[in-house]
Amino acid sequence: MDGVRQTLKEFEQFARARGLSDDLRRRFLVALDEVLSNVARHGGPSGGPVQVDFKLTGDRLTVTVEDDAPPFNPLDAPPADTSSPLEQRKAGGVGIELVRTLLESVRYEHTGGRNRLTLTDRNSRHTNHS
Amino acid sequence: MTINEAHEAGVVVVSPHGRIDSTTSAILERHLQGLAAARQTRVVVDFSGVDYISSAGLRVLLALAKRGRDQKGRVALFGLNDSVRQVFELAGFVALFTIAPTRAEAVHSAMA
Repeated sequence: MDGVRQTLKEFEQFARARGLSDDLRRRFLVALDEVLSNVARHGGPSGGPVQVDFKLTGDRLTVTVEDDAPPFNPLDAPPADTSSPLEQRKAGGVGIELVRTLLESVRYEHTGGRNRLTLTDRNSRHTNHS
Repeated sequence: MTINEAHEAGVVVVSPHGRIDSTTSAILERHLQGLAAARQTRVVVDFSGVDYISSAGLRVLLALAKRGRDQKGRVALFGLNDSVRQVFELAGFVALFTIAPTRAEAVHSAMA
């Protein structure tokens, strides 16, 4: 989990240095926490290092997460339960549901023996948020 | 994450400060489990110091709500920023919790 902590901290520093809005910074932090803890769970003991890159082009932020674990597309997960009453509600799957819905675009590809997830959104999409 | 706790009219107000994600949610979970073990079943969670919450944090809150139901307690939340509220809405958590506009109303709701 230390890798997750370190990457989230690096993203916070990137967000501050590049003047990202609080809204965009927080949406990416939520998504990154989900994606990285997912990779940590599914990567298995043979999982090599996870590579995370942040890129801001104009107002478009792109974050890529790559690992060399066996092919795994987190976006294949079934929709999470977001409507059952409390008694039946399960928390499983909510994380990837958030990744799918919080950001403008999320894309998975398996290329060159690596899993690559590309997350993108714009800095100015929700200017009225705090 | 730091967590402050205050007691008002038989209600515990828990104020986590910072982020609630996979790197910190266990701290909040232990704190809330401690309250349940001490039969403190009227709980308000103050989100005014919370920057964001991810699904690891939602999992902790779901457990709090289920314990609240099992122990015939009361749970209320207040102080959610726009980002936290958006996550609650997307996850369908708004329907599971009493979300009050102010601290006083949250405490009142947990007393009822």
